[in-house]
Amino acid sequence: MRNLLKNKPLLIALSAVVLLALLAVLTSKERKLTFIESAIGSVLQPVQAFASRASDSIIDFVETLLNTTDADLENQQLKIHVASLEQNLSEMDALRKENERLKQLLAFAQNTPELSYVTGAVIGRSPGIWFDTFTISVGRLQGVERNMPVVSPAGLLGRVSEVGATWCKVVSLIDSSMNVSVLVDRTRDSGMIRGTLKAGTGADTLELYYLPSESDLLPGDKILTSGIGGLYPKGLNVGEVLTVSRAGESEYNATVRPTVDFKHIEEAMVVVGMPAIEETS
Amino acid sequence: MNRKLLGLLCVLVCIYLDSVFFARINILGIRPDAMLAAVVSFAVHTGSAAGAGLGAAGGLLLDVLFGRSLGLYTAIYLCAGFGAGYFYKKFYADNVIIPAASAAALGVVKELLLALIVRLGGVSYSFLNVFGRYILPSALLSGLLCALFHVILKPLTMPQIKRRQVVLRR
Repeated sequence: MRNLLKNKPLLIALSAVVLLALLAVLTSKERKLTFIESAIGSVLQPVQAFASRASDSIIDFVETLLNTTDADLENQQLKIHVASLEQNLSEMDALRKENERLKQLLAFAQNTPELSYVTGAVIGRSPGIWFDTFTISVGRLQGVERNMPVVSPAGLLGRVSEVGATWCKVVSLIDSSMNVSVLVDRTRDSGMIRGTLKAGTGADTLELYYLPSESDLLPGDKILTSGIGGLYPKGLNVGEVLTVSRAGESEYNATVRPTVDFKHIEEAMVVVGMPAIEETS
Repeated sequence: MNRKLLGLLCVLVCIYLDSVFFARINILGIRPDAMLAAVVSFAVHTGSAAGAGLGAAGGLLLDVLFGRSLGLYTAIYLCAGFGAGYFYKKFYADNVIIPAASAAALGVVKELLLALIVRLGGVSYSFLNVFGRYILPSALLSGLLCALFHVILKPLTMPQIKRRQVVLRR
Protein backbone atom coordinates (compact mmCIF):
# COMPACT_ATOMS: atom_id res chain seq x y z
CA MET A 1 0.00 0.00 0.00
CA ARG A 2 2.85 2.36 0.97
CA ASN A 3 4.62 1.56 -2.33
CA LEU A 4 1.41 2.28 -4.14
CA LEU A 5 1.13 5.68 -2.47
CA LYS A 6 4.75 6.46 -3.41
CA ASN A 7 4.05 5.78 -7.10
CA LYS A 8 3.52 9.38 -8.20
CA PRO A 9 2.58 8.75 -11.86
CA LEU A 10 0.00 6.16 -10.82
CA LEU A 11 -1.51 8.56 -8.28
CA ILE A 12 -1.69 11.33 -10.90
CA ALA A 13 -3.30 8.98 -13.41
CA LEU A 14 -5.82 7.71 -10.83
CA SER A 15 -6.73 11.27 -9.78
CA ALA A 16 -7.14 12.24 -13.43
CA VAL A 17 -9.40 9.25 -14.08
CA VAL A 18 -11.55 10.02 -11.03
CA LEU A 19 -11.88 13.67 -12.11
CA LEU A 20 -12.68 12.68 -15.70
CA ALA A 21 -15.28 10.14 -14.56
CA LEU A 22 -16.87 12.89 -12.46
CA LEU A 23 -16.79 15.23 -15.45
CA ALA A 24 -18.34 12.55 -17.67
CA VAL A 25 -21.20 12.06 -15.21
CA LEU A 26 -21.73 15.82 -14.85
CA THR A 27 -21.74 16.40 -18.62
CA SER A 28 -23.74 13.31 -19.59
CA LYS A 29 -27.00 15.25 -19.74
CA GLU A 30 -27.95 17.63 -22.55
CA ARG A 31 -25.73 20.68 -22.36
CA LYS A 32 -24.29 23.56 -24.34
CA LEU A 33 -20.81 23.32 -25.80
CA THR A 34 -18.18 25.48 -24.12
CA PHE A 35 -16.24 28.02 -26.15
CA ILE A 36 -13.12 25.80 -26.09
CA GLU A 37 -15.02 22.71 -27.34
CA SER A 38 -16.65 24.78 -30.07
CA ALA A 39 -13.28 26.23 -31.11
CA ILE A 40 -11.59 22.79 -31.20
CA GLY A 41 -14.38 21.50 -33.43
CA SER A 42 -14.19 24.56 -35.68
CA VAL A 43 -10.42 24.14 -36.09
CA LEU A 44 -10.76 20.44 -36.94
CA GLN A 45 -13.87 20.83 -39.13
CA PRO A 46 -12.08 21.90 -42.38
CA VAL A 47 -9.43 19.19 -41.88
CA GLN A 48 -12.13 16.57 -41.35
CA ALA A 49 -14.19 17.84 -44.27
CA PHE A 50 -11.16 17.70 -46.57
CA ALA A 51 -10.17 14.23 -45.31
CA SER A 52 -13.74 12.97 -45.75
CA ARG A 53 -14.01 14.28 -49.33
CA ALA A 54 -10.53 13.01 -50.24
CA SER A 55 -11.16 9.52 -48.88
CA ASP A 56 -14.53 9.34 -50.65
CA SER A 57 -12.84 10.16 -53.96
CA ILE A 58 -10.02 7.67 -53.36
CA ILE A 59 -12.42 4.89 -52.34
CA ASP A 60 -14.68 5.60 -55.34
CA PHE A 61 -11.68 5.56 -57.68
CA VAL A 62 -10.36 2.25 -56.26
CA GLU A 63 -13.85 0.73 -56.45
CA THR A 64 -14.16 1.81 -60.10
CA LEU A 65 -10.75 0.30 -60.89
CA LEU A 66 -11.67 -2.96 -59.16
CA ASN A 67 -14.95 -3.11 -61.03
CA THR A 68 -13.23 -2.69 -64.41
CA THR A 69 -13.72 -5.87 -66.44
CA ASP A 70 -13.35 -4.90 -70.07
CA ALA A 71 -9.87 -3.29 -70.00
CA ASP A 72 -7.14 -4.96 -72.02
CA LEU A 73 -4.87 -6.07 -69.21
CA GLU A 74 -2.07 -7.27 -71.55
CA ASN A 75 -1.37 -3.90 -73.06
CA GLN A 76 0.57 -1.66 -70.69
CA GLN A 77 -0.11 1.56 -72.54
CA LEU A 78 -3.78 0.84 -72.82
CA LYS A 79 -3.86 0.02 -69.14
CA ILE A 80 -2.45 3.44 -68.28
CA HIS A 81 -4.84 5.07 -70.71
CA VAL A 82 -7.78 3.14 -69.29
CA ALA A 83 -6.73 4.02 -65.74
CA SER A 84 -6.59 7.69 -66.69
CA LEU A 85 -10.02 7.48 -68.33
CA GLU A 86 -11.35 5.59 -65.35
CA GLN A 87 -10.10 8.34 -63.08
CA ASN A 88 -11.90 10.92 -65.20
CA LEU A 89 -14.98 8.74 -65.21
CA SER A 90 -14.76 8.30 -61.47
CA GLU A 91 -14.53 12.06 -60.96
CA MET A 92 -17.46 12.61 -63.34
CA ASP A 93 -19.41 9.86 -61.62
CA ALA A 94 -18.76 11.45 -58.21
CA LEU A 95 -19.90 14.84 -59.59
CA ARG A 96 -23.00 13.26 -61.16
CA LYS A 97 -23.90 11.53 -57.89
CA GLU A 98 -23.36 14.75 -55.95
CA ASN A 99 -25.51 16.60 -58.49
CA GLU A 100 -28.28 14.01 -58.10
CA ARG A 101 -28.13 14.19 -54.32
CA LEU A 102 -28.26 18.00 -54.36
CA LYS A 103 -31.17 17.91 -56.82
CA GLN A 104 -33.02 15.55 -54.45
CA LEU A 105 -32.30 17.90 -51.53
CA LEU A 106 -33.60 20.85 -53.57
CA ALA A 107 -36.72 18.96 -54.62
CA PHE A 108 -37.36 17.94 -51.02
CA ALA A 109 -36.95 21.53 -49.84
CA GLN A 110 -39.30 22.79 -52.58
CA ASN A 111 -41.94 20.19 -51.66
CA THR A 112 -41.97 21.36 -48.04
CA PRO A 113 -42.18 25.16 -48.34
CA GLU A 114 -43.43 25.54 -44.78
CA LEU A 115 -39.99 24.51 -43.49
CA SER A 116 -36.62 26.14 -44.10
CA TYR A 117 -33.34 24.30 -44.13
CA VAL A 118 -29.58 24.67 -44.03
CA THR A 119 -27.60 21.93 -45.73
CA GLY A 120 -24.26 20.61 -44.52
CA ALA A 121 -21.84 17.85 -45.45
CA VAL A 122 -21.32 14.90 -43.13
CA ILE A 123 -17.70 15.20 -41.99
CA GLY A 124 -17.32 12.45 -39.39
CA ARG A 125 -19.06 9.65 -37.55
CA SER A 126 -18.72 8.36 -34.02
CA PRO A 127 -16.54 5.28 -33.58
CA GLY A 128 -18.01 2.03 -32.23
CA ILE A 129 -21.58 0.80 -32.00
CA TRP A 130 -22.66 2.15 -28.64
CA PHE A 131 -23.42 5.71 -29.69
CA ASP A 132 -24.52 6.69 -33.18
CA THR A 133 -23.72 10.32 -33.80
CA PHE A 134 -22.23 12.21 -36.71
CA THR A 135 -20.94 15.73 -37.26
CA ILE A 136 -22.02 18.03 -40.06
CA SER A 137 -20.44 21.21 -41.41
CA VAL A 138 -23.08 23.74 -40.33
CA GLY A 139 -23.41 25.34 -36.92
CA ARG A 140 -24.51 28.33 -34.88
CA LEU A 141 -23.33 30.81 -37.55
CA GLN A 142 -25.76 29.23 -40.03
CA GLY A 143 -28.65 29.42 -37.57
CA VAL A 144 -28.50 25.86 -36.23
CA GLU A 145 -29.72 25.33 -32.68
CA ARG A 146 -29.94 22.36 -30.33
CA ASN A 147 -32.82 19.88 -30.81
CA MET A 148 -33.47 20.95 -34.39
CA PRO A 149 -34.52 18.02 -36.58
CA VAL A 150 -32.11 16.80 -39.24
CA VAL A 151 -33.51 15.27 -42.42
CA SER A 152 -32.57 14.00 -45.85
CA PRO A 153 -34.79 13.50 -48.93
CA ALA A 154 -35.22 9.87 -47.83
CA GLY A 155 -36.55 10.81 -44.40
CA LEU A 156 -35.67 11.65 -40.81
CA LEU A 157 -31.96 11.45 -39.88
CA GLY A 158 -31.98 12.56 -36.25
CA ARG A 159 -31.69 15.70 -34.16
CA VAL A 160 -28.98 18.20 -33.33
CA SER A 161 -27.50 17.49 -29.90
CA GLU A 162 -24.64 19.99 -29.65
CA VAL A 163 -23.78 23.07 -31.69
CA GLY A 164 -20.41 24.66 -32.39
CA ALA A 165 -19.77 27.83 -34.38
CA THR A 166 -19.35 26.09 -37.76
CA TRP A 167 -20.29 22.49 -36.96
CA CYS A 168 -22.82 20.49 -35.01
CA LYS A 169 -23.26 17.02 -33.58
CA VAL A 170 -26.31 15.02 -34.66
CA VAL A 171 -27.75 12.03 -32.79
CA SER A 172 -28.90 9.53 -35.43
CA LEU A 173 -32.40 8.13 -35.52
CA ILE A 174 -30.80 4.66 -35.13
CA ASP A 175 -29.01 5.62 -31.88
CA SER A 176 -30.24 3.50 -28.99
CA SER A 177 -31.09 6.62 -26.96
CA MET A 178 -33.47 8.05 -29.60
CA ASN A 179 -37.23 7.93 -29.09
CA VAL A 180 -39.48 9.40 -31.77
CA SER A 181 -43.25 9.59 -31.84
CA VAL A 182 -44.53 8.02 -35.08
CA LEU A 183 -47.68 6.84 -36.82
CA VAL A 184 -48.46 4.01 -39.20
CA ASP A 185 -49.30 5.55 -42.58
CA ARG A 186 -52.02 3.00 -43.51
CA THR A 187 -53.84 2.66 -40.18
CA ARG A 188 -52.90 6.06 -38.62
CA ASP A 189 -52.09 4.27 -35.32
CA SER A 190 -49.61 6.12 -33.12
CA GLY A 191 -46.56 4.56 -31.50
CA MET A 192 -42.98 5.20 -30.56
CA ILE A 193 -39.82 4.21 -32.33
CA ARG A 194 -36.33 3.74 -30.94
CA GLY A 195 -32.93 2.69 -32.23
CA THR A 196 -31.44 -0.71 -31.54
CA LEU A 197 -27.85 -1.81 -31.15
CA LYS A 198 -26.52 -3.44 -34.29
CA ALA A 199 -23.92 -6.02 -33.39
CA GLY A 200 -22.06 -7.56 -36.28
CA THR A 201 -25.08 -7.64 -38.58
CA GLY A 202 -24.28 -4.45 -40.47
CA ALA A 203 -28.02 -3.75 -40.76
CA ASP A 204 -29.62 -0.74 -39.12
CA THR A 205 -32.99 -1.47 -37.54
CA LEU A 206 -35.51 0.37 -35.38
CA GLU A 207 -37.98 -0.95 -32.85
CA LEU A 208 -41.64 0.14 -32.97
CA TYR A 209 -43.47 -0.04 -29.63
CA TYR A 210 -46.40 1.39 -27.68
CA LEU A 211 -48.81 0.51 -30.48
CA PRO A 212 -52.51 0.13 -29.60
CA SER A 213 -53.53 -3.49 -28.93
CA GLU A 214 -56.13 -3.43 -31.72
CA SER A 215 -53.58 -2.21 -34.24
CA ASP A 216 -53.51 -4.09 -37.52
CA LEU A 217 -49.86 -3.76 -38.40
CA LEU A 218 -48.46 -5.60 -41.42
CA PRO A 219 -44.94 -6.02 -42.82
CA GLY A 220 -44.38 -3.37 -45.48
CA ASP A 221 -46.38 -0.67 -43.68
CA LYS A 222 -44.84 2.78 -43.91
CA ILE A 223 -43.93 4.58 -40.69
CA LEU A 224 -44.01 8.40 -40.58
CA THR A 225 -43.28 10.99 -37.89
CA SER A 226 -46.47 11.97 -36.05
CA GLY A 227 -45.41 15.51 -35.14
CA ILE A 228 -46.53 14.93 -31.54
CA GLY A 229 -44.28 16.84 -29.16
CA GLY A 230 -43.40 19.43 -31.77
CA LEU A 231 -39.80 18.31 -32.10
CA TYR A 232 -40.09 16.77 -35.57
CA PRO A 233 -42.27 17.91 -38.47
CA LYS A 234 -45.26 15.67 -39.18
CA GLY A 235 -45.18 13.23 -42.09
CA LEU A 236 -41.44 12.64 -42.49
CA ASN A 237 -40.49 9.15 -43.66
CA VAL A 238 -39.05 7.03 -40.88
CA GLY A 239 -39.07 3.45 -42.15
CA GLU A 240 -40.91 0.37 -43.32
CA VAL A 241 -42.13 -2.47 -41.10
CA LEU A 242 -40.02 -5.62 -41.49
CA THR A 243 -41.42 -8.02 -38.89
CA VAL A 244 -44.34 -7.90 -36.45
CA SER A 245 -44.61 -9.85 -33.20
CA ARG A 246 -47.09 -9.79 -30.33
CA ALA A 247 -45.38 -9.80 -26.93
CA GLY A 248 -48.55 -10.02 -24.84
CA GLU A 249 -52.29 -9.33 -24.84
CA SER A 250 -51.85 -5.63 -25.32
CA GLU A 251 -48.30 -5.31 -26.53
CA TYR A 252 -47.10 -5.11 -30.08
CA ASN A 253 -43.46 -5.07 -31.15
CA ALA A 254 -42.25 -4.53 -34.66
CA THR A 255 -38.90 -4.24 -36.37
CA VAL A 256 -38.61 -1.35 -38.78
CA ARG A 257 -36.02 -0.79 -41.50
CA PRO A 258 -35.16 2.92 -41.73
CA THR A 259 -35.76 4.57 -45.10
CA VAL A 260 -32.44 6.39 -44.82
CA ASP A 261 -29.28 4.45 -45.61
CA PHE A 262 -27.28 5.64 -42.62
CA LYS A 263 -24.05 4.13 -43.91
CA HIS A 264 -24.01 6.34 -46.98
CA ILE A 265 -25.32 9.73 -45.90
CA GLU A 266 -23.12 12.49 -47.28
CA GLU A 267 -25.31 15.58 -46.88
CA ALA A 268 -27.86 16.42 -44.24
CA MET A 269 -30.45 19.19 -43.94
CA VAL A 270 -31.14 20.86 -40.60
CA VAL A 271 -34.72 22.14 -40.30
CA VAL A 272 -34.11 25.67 -39.04
CA GLY A 273 -37.61 26.90 -39.86
CA MET A 274 -39.17 25.10 -36.90
CA PRO A 275 -38.99 26.67 -33.46
CA ALA A 276 -36.49 24.80 -31.31
CA ILE A 277 -37.83 23.09 -28.20
CA GLU A 278 -37.26 25.11 -25.04
CA GLU A 279 -34.67 23.64 -22.73
CA THR A 280 -36.02 22.00 -19.60
CA SER A 281 -34.06 22.17 -16.41
CA MET B 1 10.91 12.61 -34.77
CA ASN B 2 9.89 14.90 -31.92
CA ARG B 3 7.67 12.95 -29.56
CA LYS B 4 4.99 15.65 -29.22
CA LEU B 5 4.79 16.11 -32.98
CA LEU B 6 4.57 12.35 -33.44
CA GLY B 7 1.80 12.18 -30.84
CA LEU B 8 -0.16 14.98 -32.55
CA LEU B 9 0.21 13.24 -35.91
CA CYS B 10 -0.97 9.95 -34.36
CA VAL B 11 -4.05 11.61 -32.88
CA LEU B 12 -5.04 13.29 -36.18
CA VAL B 13 -4.49 10.12 -38.21
CA CYS B 14 -6.51 8.07 -35.71
CA ILE B 15 -9.41 10.56 -35.68
CA TYR B 16 -9.47 10.35 -39.47
CA LEU B 17 -9.34 6.53 -39.39
CA ASP B 18 -12.01 6.17 -36.68
CA SER B 19 -14.48 8.79 -37.90
CA VAL B 20 -14.09 8.68 -41.68
CA PHE B 21 -12.17 5.68 -43.00
CA PHE B 22 -13.45 2.82 -40.83
CA ALA B 23 -16.95 4.35 -40.88
CA ARG B 24 -16.97 3.48 -44.61
CA ILE B 25 -14.63 0.50 -44.76
CA ASN B 26 -15.68 -2.14 -42.23
CA ILE B 27 -16.86 -5.73 -42.03
CA LEU B 28 -20.59 -5.80 -41.23
CA GLY B 29 -20.15 -2.81 -38.95
CA ILE B 30 -17.18 -4.37 -37.14
CA ARG B 31 -14.24 -2.02 -37.12
CA PRO B 32 -11.01 -1.67 -35.15
CA ASP B 33 -10.36 1.07 -32.63
CA ALA B 34 -7.49 2.96 -34.25
CA MET B 35 -7.06 5.37 -31.33
CA LEU B 36 -6.68 2.49 -28.86
CA ALA B 37 -4.23 0.70 -31.15
CA ALA B 38 -2.09 3.83 -31.54
CA VAL B 39 -2.18 4.70 -27.83
CA VAL B 40 -1.10 1.16 -26.81
CA SER B 41 1.68 1.03 -29.39
CA PHE B 42 2.91 4.52 -28.46
CA ALA B 43 2.86 3.65 -24.75
CA VAL B 44 4.83 0.42 -25.27
CA HIS B 45 7.44 2.38 -27.22
CA THR B 46 7.66 5.47 -25.00
CA GLY B 47 6.32 4.64 -21.52
CA SER B 48 3.31 5.18 -19.29
CA ALA B 49 3.45 8.97 -18.99
CA ALA B 50 3.68 9.61 -22.74
CA GLY B 51 1.10 6.90 -23.45
CA ALA B 52 -1.33 8.37 -20.93
CA GLY B 53 -0.74 11.85 -22.36
CA LEU B 54 -1.48 10.70 -25.90
CA GLY B 55 -4.51 8.75 -24.69
CA ALA B 56 -5.87 11.79 -22.84
CA ALA B 57 -5.35 14.10 -25.85
CA GLY B 58 -6.90 11.69 -28.35
CA GLY B 59 -9.78 10.79 -26.03
CA LEU B 60 -10.52 14.46 -25.37
CA LEU B 61 -10.81 15.20 -29.09
CA LEU B 62 -13.10 12.18 -29.58
CA ASP B 63 -15.20 13.37 -26.63
CA VAL B 64 -15.55 16.86 -28.09
CA LEU B 65 -16.29 15.73 -31.64
CA PHE B 66 -18.41 12.63 -31.12
CA GLY B 67 -18.85 11.85 -27.42
CA ARG B 68 -22.09 11.92 -25.49
CA SER B 69 -20.34 13.27 -22.39
CA LEU B 70 -17.04 15.04 -21.88
CA GLY B 71 -14.37 12.90 -20.19
CA LEU B 72 -15.51 9.36 -20.95
CA TYR B 73 -13.19 8.58 -23.87
CA THR B 74 -10.48 10.74 -22.24
CA ALA B 75 -10.50 8.57 -19.11
CA ILE B 76 -10.64 5.31 -21.08
CA TYR B 77 -7.71 6.12 -23.38
CA LEU B 78 -5.71 7.68 -20.54
CA CYS B 79 -6.01 4.40 -18.60
CA ALA B 80 -5.17 2.38 -21.73
CA GLY B 81 -2.01 4.43 -22.33
CA PHE B 82 -0.99 4.25 -18.70
CA GLY B 83 -1.61 0.50 -18.50
CA ALA B 84 0.13 -0.36 -21.78
CA GLY B 85 3.16 1.67 -20.63
CA TYR B 86 3.82 -1.15 -18.15
CA PHE B 87 5.43 -3.08 -21.01
CA TYR B 88 7.84 -0.23 -21.82
CA LYS B 89 11.40 -1.61 -21.99
CA LYS B 90 10.23 -4.98 -20.70
CA PHE B 91 10.31 -6.64 -24.12
CA TYR B 92 12.26 -6.25 -27.32
CA ALA B 93 10.90 -3.49 -29.53
CA ASP B 94 10.57 -6.04 -32.36
CA ASN B 95 8.01 -8.01 -30.38
CA VAL B 96 4.61 -7.17 -31.88
CA ILE B 97 2.74 -9.87 -29.96
CA ILE B 98 2.78 -7.99 -26.64
CA PRO B 99 1.31 -4.69 -27.93
CA ALA B 100 -1.16 -6.51 -30.17
CA ALA B 101 -2.35 -8.71 -27.29
CA SER B 102 -2.50 -5.68 -24.95
CA ALA B 103 -4.56 -3.70 -27.47
CA ALA B 104 -6.95 -6.62 -27.96
CA ALA B 105 -7.34 -7.14 -24.19
CA LEU B 106 -7.78 -3.42 -23.53
CA GLY B 107 -10.24 -3.30 -26.44
CA VAL B 108 -12.39 -5.94 -24.73
CA VAL B 109 -12.21 -4.07 -21.40
CA LYS B 110 -13.12 -0.75 -23.07
CA GLU B 111 -16.10 -2.23 -24.93
CA LEU B 112 -17.32 -4.00 -21.77
CA LEU B 113 -17.17 -0.71 -19.90
CA LEU B 114 -19.12 1.08 -22.65
CA ALA B 115 -21.61 -1.81 -22.73
CA LEU B 116 -22.14 -1.38 -18.98
CA ILE B 117 -22.62 2.39 -19.33
CA VAL B 118 -25.13 1.92 -22.16
CA ARG B 119 -26.99 -0.76 -20.15
CA LEU B 120 -27.10 1.58 -17.13
CA GLY B 121 -28.51 4.21 -19.49
CA GLY B 122 -31.55 1.98 -19.99
CA VAL B 123 -30.77 0.38 -23.35
CA SER B 124 -31.53 -3.33 -23.53
CA TYR B 125 -29.58 -5.72 -25.74
CA SER B 126 -28.42 -9.32 -25.80
CA PHE B 127 -25.02 -9.24 -24.10
CA LEU B 128 -23.79 -12.56 -25.52
CA ASN B 129 -24.83 -11.51 -29.01
CA VAL B 130 -23.00 -8.17 -28.73
CA PHE B 131 -19.98 -9.82 -27.09
CA GLY B 132 -19.62 -12.55 -29.71
CA ARG B 133 -20.55 -10.57 -32.79
CA TYR B 134 -18.99 -7.21 -32.05
CA ILE B 135 -16.74 -6.91 -28.98
CA LEU B 136 -14.45 -9.88 -29.68
CA PRO B 137 -14.01 -9.37 -33.44
CA SER B 138 -13.54 -5.63 -32.96
CA ALA B 139 -10.88 -6.23 -30.26
CA LEU B 140 -9.13 -8.70 -32.54
CA LEU B 141 -9.02 -6.13 -35.36
CA SER B 142 -7.70 -3.51 -32.91
CA GLY B 143 -4.92 -5.95 -31.94
CA LEU B 144 -3.96 -6.48 -35.59
CA LEU B 145 -3.99 -2.74 -36.24
CA CYS B 146 -1.83 -2.20 -33.15
CA ALA B 147 0.76 -4.65 -34.55
CA LEU B 148 0.84 -2.57 -37.73
CA PHE B 149 1.14 0.70 -35.79
CA HIS B 150 3.91 -0.86 -33.70
CA VAL B 151 5.98 -1.61 -36.80
CA ILE B 152 5.36 1.90 -38.19
CA LEU B 153 6.09 3.71 -34.91
CA LYS B 154 9.23 1.75 -34.06
CA PRO B 155 11.66 3.57 -36.40
CA LEU B 156 10.06 6.91 -35.49
CA THR B 157 10.51 6.45 -31.74
CA MET B 158 13.80 4.50 -31.68
CA PRO B 159 16.24 7.40 -32.37
CA GLN B 160 14.82 9.23 -29.41
CA ILE B 161 15.20 6.22 -27.14
CA LYS B 162 18.78 5.69 -28.29
CA ARG B 163 19.58 9.39 -27.72
CA ARG B 164 18.19 9.17 -24.20
CA GLN B 165 20.26 6.04 -23.49
CA VAL B 166 23.45 7.84 -24.63
CA VAL B 167 22.68 10.75 -22.30
CA LEU B 168 22.05 8.35 -19.43
CA ARG B 169 25.37 6.53 -20.05
CA ARG B 170 27.27 9.84 -19.91
